[in-house]
Amino acid sequence: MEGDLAMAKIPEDKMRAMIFEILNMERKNLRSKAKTDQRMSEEIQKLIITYSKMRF
Amino acid sequence: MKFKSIRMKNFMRYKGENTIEFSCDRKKNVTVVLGDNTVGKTTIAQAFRFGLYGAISTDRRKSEDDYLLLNNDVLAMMDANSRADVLVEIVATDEEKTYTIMRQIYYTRAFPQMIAREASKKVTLHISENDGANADIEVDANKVEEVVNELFPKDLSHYFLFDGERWNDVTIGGVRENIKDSVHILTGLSSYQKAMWHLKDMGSNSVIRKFKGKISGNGNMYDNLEAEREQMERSIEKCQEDIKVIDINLQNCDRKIRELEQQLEENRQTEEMQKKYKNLCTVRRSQAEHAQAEYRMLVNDFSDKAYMLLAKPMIKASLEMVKSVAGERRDIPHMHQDSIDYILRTGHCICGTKILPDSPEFECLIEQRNYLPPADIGSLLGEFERTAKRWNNRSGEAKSDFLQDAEKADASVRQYEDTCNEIALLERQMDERIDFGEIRRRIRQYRDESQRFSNQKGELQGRIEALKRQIEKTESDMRAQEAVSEENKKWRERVELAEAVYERMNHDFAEKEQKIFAELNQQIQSNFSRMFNAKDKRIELDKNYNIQMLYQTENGYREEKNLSEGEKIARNFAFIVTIMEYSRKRKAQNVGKDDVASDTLPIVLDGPFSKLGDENIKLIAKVLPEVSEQVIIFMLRKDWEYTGLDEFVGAYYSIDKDADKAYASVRKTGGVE
Repeated sequence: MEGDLAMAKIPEDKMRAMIFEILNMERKNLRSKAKTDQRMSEEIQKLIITYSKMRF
Repeated sequence: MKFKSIRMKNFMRYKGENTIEFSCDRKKNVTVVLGDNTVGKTTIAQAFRFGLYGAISTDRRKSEDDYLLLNNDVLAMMDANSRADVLVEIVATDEEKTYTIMRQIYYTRAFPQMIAREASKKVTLHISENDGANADIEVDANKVEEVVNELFPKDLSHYFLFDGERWNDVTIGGVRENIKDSVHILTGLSSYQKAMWHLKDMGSNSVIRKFKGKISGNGNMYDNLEAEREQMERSIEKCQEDIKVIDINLQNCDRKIRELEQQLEENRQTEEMQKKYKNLCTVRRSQAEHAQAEYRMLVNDFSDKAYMLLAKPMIKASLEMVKSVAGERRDIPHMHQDSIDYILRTGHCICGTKILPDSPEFECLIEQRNYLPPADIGSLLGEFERTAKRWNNRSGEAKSDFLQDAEKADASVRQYEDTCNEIALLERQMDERIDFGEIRRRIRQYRDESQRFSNQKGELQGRIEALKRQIEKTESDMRAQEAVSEENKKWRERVELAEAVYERMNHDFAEKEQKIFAELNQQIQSNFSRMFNAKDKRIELDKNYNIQMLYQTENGYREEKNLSEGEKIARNFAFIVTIMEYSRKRKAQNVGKDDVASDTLPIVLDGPFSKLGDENIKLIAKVLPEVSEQVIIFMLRKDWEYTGLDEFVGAYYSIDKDADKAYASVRKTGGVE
């Protein structure tokens, strides 16, 4: 989060919420293996794009 | 996580269907299944292992093929054309979902022999949501083992599916558990690891790599740098693949080393016997030589002196007789008539005087000749007396010498025979076929291989780090060549956000891992003291979560590796209770917080207290319902009262088996409906 970032600094609560969502997605998938690694990567990409669209 | 039920069909000792519904009550969280010896308590524990992992727990001397999963009575009723199935279905549930794991094997019979042949088998895992919000899902058959491992980590199964007869073992089937990964699963850290893998570590399909691929640049320079980066990323992926192979090889080496070390450990007594045997053989050889030498000495001594000793009475009588018949005599020692005849014949005395016939010298010699043997025995008797005196002197100590020599010879023969008997006893007791030198040689060989693989892995890891630094530099160059556009700006922001998330997760993971390790270590010591009242001992987890027992010495606490069976039980009990308690506490603390959830495990105990004293049984038994969400115990009817657990029991079951029948059945006898 430090350094010369092109994006605006993400607030702590948003960062925590995003990590929480990712971890829950991972936990859910670890307990069902419904999605492949590639699919999980795509899901996380979507989530990060959604968060990056928010104006902080 | 709790077990709701287990359904067994034709499984080992159980013919037909038998179902046990476990108590999921929060307070009365204990289910007890009581039975007498050899009625089938362990079979239910085996059903759990088979249901979850598709394999039963085998005795060290037997392989899985030595066990028949199909009930014998069912097999006996089959003919060449019939089929019969074994089925185990386990239903487990947590706050959100219910998991139904079912394994089924169909058998045919090699009629008329009593041999069952596996015809087909299947495994299914259905997941349903407790609130029925979404449709049930069936897990892909290839992924069932992975999901089951996530729900009930196999490497912890030795602890939560606990076999009281064998739980002093440190391995399951010779493979030491990877406890660290299992603890990561229980504490939710495996989600962090997986997320970091998807964000960055998985390479070309990772989130960050995909975002970076969307950024476009100006001209050939950018394209060249991008191609260069791709090539380096491929090299990293190749190195990672190689590391995976090396890791498998390392695990195999490690497994082999542990198996061989276990073999040494299990046969330590045989090795000591073999060493003793070898030493005794050397001792026996030298004792045999010694006994022979002693015997030779006796024989020599006897040959040398016995005749003198034996002749003693005869000599005495002879001397007396000589004295009586020839008391006065001329005794010219060592002379004989032949000596005089010789001098007369030569005509010269030995002093040089000429001896002429009729000379006084001649006459003198003729006179002396009359006193010499054989005409006169005076000289011979003199000889005899001198010899008799010499013999008497020499044989004075002979008798005691003979006795002493004989005692020495006897003693050395007895020593030799004792050693022979000891050797014969060892030969009956020990297994002389085990070649310990060969085992040690193989351990050294696997250690060398392991070292070689570790070096290779280190080199590859070094190469990956170098490539990563190179990629960073290339990306920095690429950034300078990036096209200035809104689209690029957008993707750059996303890359940076994903990288920030990755860094944060990496940091949180390390922090949590350290915290969990420290807390677990503190708690395991406290549980150990609470349950076993041990004052001079401590237990501790090392970095890989191996449990060490430390003894107090003058120089502080030192690890003790040669533990008694009781100590191993204490150590393992303290470990599993700590894991249970810790995960349960974490789960309670995390409810409603934005942190990933921890999981808990039920504990299934088969004959848990069979090797513990009454005092420890009570101490441990009362801890179990507190630390675990659910306790399932199979034990001997007669031992139950010592546990004092009745107030926590939600379901009682009994195993029935008629003496004339080869199969058992389970019956509910009480508890919450």
